[in-house]
Amino acid sequence: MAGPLEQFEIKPLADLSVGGIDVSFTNSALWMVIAAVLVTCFMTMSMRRGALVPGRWQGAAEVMYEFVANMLKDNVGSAGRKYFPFIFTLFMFVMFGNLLGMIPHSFTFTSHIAVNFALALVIFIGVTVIGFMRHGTHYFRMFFPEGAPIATAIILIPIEIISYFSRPFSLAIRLFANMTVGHIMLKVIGGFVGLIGILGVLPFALLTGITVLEFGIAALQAYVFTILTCIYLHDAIHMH
Amino acid sequence: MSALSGGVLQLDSPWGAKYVARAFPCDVCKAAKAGFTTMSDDKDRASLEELETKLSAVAHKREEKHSPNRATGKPSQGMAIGMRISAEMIAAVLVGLLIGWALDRVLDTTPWLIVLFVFLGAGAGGLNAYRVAKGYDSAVGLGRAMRERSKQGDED
Repeated sequence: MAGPLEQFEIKPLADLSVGGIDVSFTNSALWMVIAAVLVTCFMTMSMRRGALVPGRWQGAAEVMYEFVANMLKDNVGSAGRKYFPFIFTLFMFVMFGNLLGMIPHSFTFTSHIAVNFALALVIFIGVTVIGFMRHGTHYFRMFFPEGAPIATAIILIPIEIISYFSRPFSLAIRLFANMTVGHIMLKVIGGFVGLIGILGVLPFALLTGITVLEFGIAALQAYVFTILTCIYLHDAIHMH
Repeated sequence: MSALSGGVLQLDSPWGAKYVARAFPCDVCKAAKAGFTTMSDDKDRASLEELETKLSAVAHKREEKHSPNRATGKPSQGMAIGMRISAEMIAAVLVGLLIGWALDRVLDTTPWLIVLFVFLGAGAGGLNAYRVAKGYDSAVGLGRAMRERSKQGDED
């Protein structure tokens, strides 16, 4: 029985080195490619016919589209429409990453903080650039709560700056923690099933329930990741 | 034909108002229009009812939109909120640590700034956790976020 942490091990599949930097194609990269290819196939092939009355696949693709479109409309407003392609890609990529991780013997790339942090950093830098482009230096008003006495600025401004910079970290850590904890839990409880003989029925029943819960968490965390991006985007666009 | 118009009659039974879609170009409709809309009283009542259903739909939609837990989905997702709060606190302390460490290296003031910024980071973590718990997380500036919320409260 493999240890509960072995599933997160990164194994190079094809060694590759550019200028002394190790850029090997790993199992993590492989599953990212699989996720990207699957999302692309799912969207293009189900929308190929573009029927007025959607079939099963087209219906699923339209549900995804409308879900993200409504999320963006409710949280950012009409000004967020031009960022839809990015938000939609982000949602689908994270969700497929989470769900593909539920396949036995697969690799969950969202359980690695490096992957999540890279995604979060792109969002953070993008949102900050959008904020400064739309508001110029006025965007610095973000770092001082309106209505607070001026004397408190010396404490509040550093706190607000830290709070602002903690966004990519909290985005990355949340997704990483949820995915890692879930998969470790499945592995540990799965280990009990064989160990305790006939009583193994109990952890097996528990495992069944947790598996369902994990599917829920996989979708929910993709949703949370995306909706927080929407909220940050809303901040950058509509600071008053 | 006769069976269908019978159905319309049955639907109409409480007030005699027609329930067929207005722009529905069928014989039943025409019959219904010709037969039942001569009394202006019935027409008014029908349009009032229509207005009422529309109003309640709009109110329902608005309530959904402004519910305090829209960022986390359903309020029953306790574990998700817990995860969010813990991630928020860890992240803020981490960022404080990072900024303090970097400033210390640049200004050569080891260990003073790192100590200061860890405390500031903890403060920011507490603030962020408070905002998540209260649903104020739509803005960095707490004052503005609170004003926005009270504005939303007035609207509702």
